[in-house]
Amino acid sequence: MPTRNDSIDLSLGRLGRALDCAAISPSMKPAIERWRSDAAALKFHLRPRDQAKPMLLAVIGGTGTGKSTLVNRLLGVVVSATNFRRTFTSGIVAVARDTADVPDGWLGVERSAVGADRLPARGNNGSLLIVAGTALGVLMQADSLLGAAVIADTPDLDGDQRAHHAEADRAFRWAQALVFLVTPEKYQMTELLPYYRLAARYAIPARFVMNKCEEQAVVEDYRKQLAGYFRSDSPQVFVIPRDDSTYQPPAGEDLASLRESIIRLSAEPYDSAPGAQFRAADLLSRFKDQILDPLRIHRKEADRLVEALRDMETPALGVDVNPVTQDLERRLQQRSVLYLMGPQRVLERVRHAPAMLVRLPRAAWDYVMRGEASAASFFPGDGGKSREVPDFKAVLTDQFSVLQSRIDDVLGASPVAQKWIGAGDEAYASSRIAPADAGRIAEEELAELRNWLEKRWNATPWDTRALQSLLKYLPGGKKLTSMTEAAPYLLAIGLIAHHALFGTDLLVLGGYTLATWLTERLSNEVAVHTRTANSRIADRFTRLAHEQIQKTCAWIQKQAVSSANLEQLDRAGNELAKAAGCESET
Amino acid sequence: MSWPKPPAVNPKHDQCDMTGHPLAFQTMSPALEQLVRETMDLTGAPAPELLDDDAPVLADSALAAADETGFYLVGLIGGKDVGKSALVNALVGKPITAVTSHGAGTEMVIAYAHTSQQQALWSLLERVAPGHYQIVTHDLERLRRQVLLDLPDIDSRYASHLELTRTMLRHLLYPIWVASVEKYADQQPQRMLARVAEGNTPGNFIFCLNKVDQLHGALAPGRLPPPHEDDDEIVVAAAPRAASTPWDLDADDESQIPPAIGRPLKPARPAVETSPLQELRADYADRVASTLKLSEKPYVYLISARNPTRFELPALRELLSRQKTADVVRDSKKLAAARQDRALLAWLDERQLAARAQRLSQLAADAGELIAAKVGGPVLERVIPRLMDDPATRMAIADDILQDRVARWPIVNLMHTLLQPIFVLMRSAVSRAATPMQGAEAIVAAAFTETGESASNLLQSAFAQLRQSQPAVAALYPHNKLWETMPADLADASLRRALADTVDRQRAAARERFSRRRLSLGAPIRWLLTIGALLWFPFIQPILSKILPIYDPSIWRAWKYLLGLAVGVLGVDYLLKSAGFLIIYYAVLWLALRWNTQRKVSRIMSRWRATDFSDASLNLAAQTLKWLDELTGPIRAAHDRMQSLASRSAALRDQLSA
Repeated sequence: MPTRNDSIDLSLGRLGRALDCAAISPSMKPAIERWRSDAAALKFHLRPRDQAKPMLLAVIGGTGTGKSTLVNRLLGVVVSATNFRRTFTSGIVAVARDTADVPDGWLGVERSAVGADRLPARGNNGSLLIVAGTALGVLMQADSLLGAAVIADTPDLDGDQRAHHAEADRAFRWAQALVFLVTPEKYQMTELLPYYRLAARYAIPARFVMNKCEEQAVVEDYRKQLAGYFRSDSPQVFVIPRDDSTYQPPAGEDLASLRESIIRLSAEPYDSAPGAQFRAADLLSRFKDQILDPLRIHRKEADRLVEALRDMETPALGVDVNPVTQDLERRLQQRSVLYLMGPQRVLERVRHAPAMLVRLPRAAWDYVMRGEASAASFFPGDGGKSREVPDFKAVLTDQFSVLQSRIDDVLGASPVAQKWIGAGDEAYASSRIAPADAGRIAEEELAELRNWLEKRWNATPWDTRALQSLLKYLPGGKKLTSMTEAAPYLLAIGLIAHHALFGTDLLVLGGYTLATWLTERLSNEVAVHTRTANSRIADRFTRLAHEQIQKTCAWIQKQAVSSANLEQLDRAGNELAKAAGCESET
Repeated sequence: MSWPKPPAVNPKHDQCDMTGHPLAFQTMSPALEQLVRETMDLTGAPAPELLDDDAPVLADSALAAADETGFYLVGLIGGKDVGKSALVNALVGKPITAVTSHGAGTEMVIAYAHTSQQQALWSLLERVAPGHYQIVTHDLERLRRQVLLDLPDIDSRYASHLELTRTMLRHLLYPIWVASVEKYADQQPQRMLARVAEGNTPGNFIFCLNKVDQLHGALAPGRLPPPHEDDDEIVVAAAPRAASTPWDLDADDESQIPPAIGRPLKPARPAVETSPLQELRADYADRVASTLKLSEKPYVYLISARNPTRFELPALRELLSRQKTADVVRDSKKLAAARQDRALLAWLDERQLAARAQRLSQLAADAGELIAAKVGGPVLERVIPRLMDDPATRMAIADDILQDRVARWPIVNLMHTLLQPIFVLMRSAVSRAATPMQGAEAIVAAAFTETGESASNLLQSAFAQLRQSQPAVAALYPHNKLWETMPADLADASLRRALADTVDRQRAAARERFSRRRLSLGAPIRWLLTIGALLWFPFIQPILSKILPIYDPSIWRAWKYLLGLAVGVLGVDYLLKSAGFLIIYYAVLWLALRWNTQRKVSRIMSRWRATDFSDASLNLAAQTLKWLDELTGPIRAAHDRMQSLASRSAALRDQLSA
């Protein structure tokens, strides 16, 4: 049957793997790194301590409390460098009987052994220095102490160097036993209070030492303060008097007793289970607060953003290539039998008539005054017809930037998305399609259209061709074709005189008109081609816009952990909670 | 012993100068504070810590110029158990505050003040620290205005201590920072120091390192230190007499104070500079200097409160044993106020107003260019000419004028009314977009649809592009997001309205110009040409033409002839003939009027079109340019504000450095 520690270990591993699997955006990295290092410390504590091996003891305290001095005095050798200048020790220095006594991976930082020639050591920030007892020369008292414990000197907790605090915190998390070191000046400092609380909660065996003491009353006050944290009426406080003080600590509370107490402590059976349970619970709540909850919020935000982007409409394009094809259309019209046969031509002429009439006096005036008369002065409407071709490429590029800025607006309204963009991820920049791509659509389509126009420029419209090929087999077919051009005028005359000449009904004429008009319309290949070109450009643009939206959505999805992964993390978290026996808290 | 009755002290001590005397100098110039607030508004930056309500910086009331009798505060700030109370006692020379080695320690403000200040001090302490103070009075004339404070610690688990000291720091002009050999590298006092220094000049600070006697123990572990009496080992450099610290001004102008500092101090010897004490002093001074960002290390007094006669405690006591003159205090306050101003100015400098203004002006230029090219170009080159060339525009103007002119021609207006429908029909064929009867809005809208441009689309794309190249634009158009459809439509509508209004104004101006002209000669001519013609052609002319050639004396025959003639003239045949003629006559008259009107309108329109036309309200292009200008308004407004902030802050800096 697996013990509780084993199950915690198992679920912790599972949680770590779930975190590995989940693709997490760079903005979450620091929180996760911190959590991982604490999780590694917990894993270390889950393994039962080998009683045969010395325990790992850390000396914790504020600057100037004499941590290094205490280590040196306990061992009777100057191992750790001391100085009257403050914040002197800058990295963890562990003194062990043998380098192997410090387990591999302890503290989760790189380690290096220090030879006797480089003693006393000051420590390196961010790494672990190990001083082997063998290098020190074996001393009686040190030997027995080092056999019981590896003693780690730590940097300060309260100085003006931030990096030192992190080191001390790391030592606290990995230590199997603690020595809290204070002085009369510092025993009331605020920085130590959370560590007392945690040491009590994790049931880390701890010894309390007051250095530089000059009177017993201070020790009593400290003891009273400690009693509040450790639920013991009078925790034992070992006292080291100030060097120049006449005060002598009571028997059993001096340095020698501390040494003995440490040796005794290492021999005591030690159950790490209850402490590990609380460690796991704390780790879990940190995981929930600092990792899972933000990830959930990110997920929710990402879903909302994707939803908003999907709902976003593509801007209306409003591209019409008609001006490009207009010339061809008119040219082909002139060559189309159906157009010539139909009433369209006559109607157009009639439509121009009033304008011509209105313009007549002015044209006459121009002629008299300037001696010139042009068709333009008769057909003022013509100027508008041959309107210039708009810059379709610019239109498409612009519309695409409009789309992108709409996407930006959606993302800009969300602080989470801003953080993702701010995380310096290149992926976001690469998820944007250059607006010039949209412009290329217009270029390609127009090039194709122009190609077609060129080819068609001298061609006969297909309706005419069909008619001609039909009429070829009739005698005088060619003549008939050219004669059809007069048809509308003949029809007009016929309309006026229909009663006198034929007695035909008006309906017949109307039918003819309608039929020619419709066939001409339907058979207008240019118009058809224009329509398809328009719709093709619009389609391609819409597709490109969708691609942009999809790409942005994909980027967003990549920023947030998928719900499956979240589920997995949640499940792993719950498992850990169950293993740690704190389901009720969650 | 009887205390002399204190002179009538104004209980509102720290306000008396505001009412009574003119301020000797300005505290945290209101202009500067106003500037900071405006900058916060504009840049969205968080407020400087200095302006927090509970920041441990000198309050304005503490910086107000004091009168000759007002007191000033000197107080000891430091961590738990560094020996503040012991130092106070050593400075005063008798125990006035309890020295503790454990427990909560000093929990209230202990003030050592002259009896005459009791009342004023009481009113201050009652206000800022009710129930947490104790006043110990003395009778020393030389310390009449100096109040020495012992304060609770700033780093222990007792939150109330920190609270109380923070509050007192708002009134404490001369803090003495006390650190111990053990605690001088702690982060909490350093953080406090950094915050206090934002509102006070480092020149007002005194730094001391207490318990230096302990260093011996540290140097020789396990051995008692040698007797102290004549310890030449501990020789300290003479305290600086730099005139820059207000503390020393006293010593300079009054000869009672010996120039050298206290007896046990010996002049510095170069050899001892390497001694542990000097090293410690240098280490602490380094840390203070880096916290305060000072280029020069401050002087640190090495003292031991337990040995009042040794180390530099006598020098410190000397320094504090005589009150500062009112001038010195005023100088200190001035320097502190200047420091606060400088801190605010530094905060302003961090905002980089000038660079921001520069960026904004660049942005305004870029935006103006882009919008002119992308929006202005199409509108000015295509829509406006279209609008001016459109026959409908001209006709609309001409029609109005014609209406007015014709109304004054009696018969012609009848012709005009009858012929109007025909002309309307013809006109609809001339302009495909709009019939001239429509209003200016319709004509403008037609000009836009005719050219296929849409100001809304142009705006959206121009601003979208602008926003992508310059993300700052988004913040400048918080409500009027012109890259979105609705605001762009609104801007488009405003352009159309402006153009339509201009067209309307043009119509009104043309009307004003041509139809209001009332020549006195005009009316008779008009009447002659219309009514006169009506009478002349059908009646007077034929009758006269028949009568005049006949000369017959027989009156009867003449009458008979005339009667016959009248009967002829009133006959249907004749009337039809003359009516036909008159119709043609009036039609010609009407056409002449039309033609004349059209000609005039064409001429005035070509004048309007000229870009140098003086009256902008009639120039469509000018209106468009104005509208374009308004589009970049927010950027320019932001730039103007930023520019004014930058120049104001520069002016204030000059003023302060002067």
